[in-house]
Amino acid sequence: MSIARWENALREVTRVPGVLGALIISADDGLVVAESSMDELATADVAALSAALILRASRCMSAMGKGAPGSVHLVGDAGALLAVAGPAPLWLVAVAHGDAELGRVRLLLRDFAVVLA
Amino acid sequence: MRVLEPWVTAPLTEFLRESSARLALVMTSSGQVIAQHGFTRSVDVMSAAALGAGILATTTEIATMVDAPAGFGAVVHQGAAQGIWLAGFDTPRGRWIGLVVFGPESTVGLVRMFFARFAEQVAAATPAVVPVRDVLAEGFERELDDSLRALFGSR
Amino acid sequence: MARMDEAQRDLTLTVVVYGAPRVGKTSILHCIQDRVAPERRTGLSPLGTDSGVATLLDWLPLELGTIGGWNARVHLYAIPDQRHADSTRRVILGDADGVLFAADAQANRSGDNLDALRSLQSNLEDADGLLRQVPTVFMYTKHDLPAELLLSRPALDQELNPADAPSFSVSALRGEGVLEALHATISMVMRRLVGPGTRAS
Repeated sequence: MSIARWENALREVTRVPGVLGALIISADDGLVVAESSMDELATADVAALSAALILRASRCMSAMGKGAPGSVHLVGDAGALLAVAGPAPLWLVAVAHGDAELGRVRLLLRDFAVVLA
Repeated sequence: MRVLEPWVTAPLTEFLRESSARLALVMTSSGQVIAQHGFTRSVDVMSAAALGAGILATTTEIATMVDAPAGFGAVVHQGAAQGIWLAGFDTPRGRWIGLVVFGPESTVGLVRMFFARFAEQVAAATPAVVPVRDVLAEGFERELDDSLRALFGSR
Repeated sequence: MARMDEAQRDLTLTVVVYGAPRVGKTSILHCIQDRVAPERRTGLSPLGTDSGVATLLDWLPLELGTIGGWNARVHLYAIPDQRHADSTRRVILGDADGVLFAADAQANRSGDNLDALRSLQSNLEDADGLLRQVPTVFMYTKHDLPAELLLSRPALDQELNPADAPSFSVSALRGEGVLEALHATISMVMRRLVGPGTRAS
């Protein structure tokens, strides 16, 4: 699958009302691989911090003896970050307002992760 | 951590905490050390500073060759166990360079992000240049003579 | 440029020993190091030797003590002769407060001396081609060789030093003239920091 097709799929996620951006990141180095986002979203920073979060989550799961995380959901007062594991080391990440349909976003990310693999 | 310019201390401390970097070196574009963290021998600091400044100078030459006059923002080398981030940034006292070594507890993305913040904070905190006329008291020559005589014994 | 730590009253000056290949730049640093009082001696450090390529530069820090109310030190650099070291030369010269230009006094090395002087000037030019003015002292080396092989100091001055900067006949092997040239360089650098209108006593 080409980067252009990845970006098309990410645009589909971004079309969900309330989603600020969707990106594929490399969790190993915290960099953006592909993205579709509103201008105000600092995607490079999102990638860096998401990767750090995923790294910590992985260590936490490992310490509990529960394998590797398949997704990480961070829900705050005014928004949420959803991350779904793709083929290593890629992760799909979406950032959304609090009123976005997070369930739909999660499903789209999971479907996309399957296609990516 | 050793810091020559005191206003670098707070931004560098925050950078190290946030990025989990193992080693950090801040230098002028000609390799004079401003601050360092994690190095244990001064000769390593000087070597790293000279080599880092040389690498960035070389990449600037490459940028000119490949018609990229704005140059490259940073040089990154990702090894199996450690990575290196090398980037220049502008301050009121000229262009400075940061050399950062990070391990698997960090990522190049985190280093990039917090380095950008560090560069902004240093630029904002840097005071104006000291007027050179105020640097040395007049009549320093006799002290210089005495100092060199003491340094070189009874030459 | 001179580094000043106002809080600690630390002043660090950079002096670069520059010259043609095989003129004895590293020997000059060794000569200076050997003459430092033993209790104040630091190591002469070849930098970059672990790269497996070549020595990038030699570095000798000298702690001068308190001068003019500042804790003064001088970092002396000598950049070796490899052609690939040109970017290193430019980088180190970019921060030089003073230059000790070493010229070989042997008559048959005139061309090499002039090439080195041109190289120095080109490495001191900024991106706009403007020459940065750096206090420079000339040292004419190899004065341990037979006199018939050597040009006189006035002849060398005429060829290399038309601006009549301080010049010294030196022998790094015997240690003659080197410290005097270093003293003159540091003195010129500091006089420049004090600014015009200040006379040396």
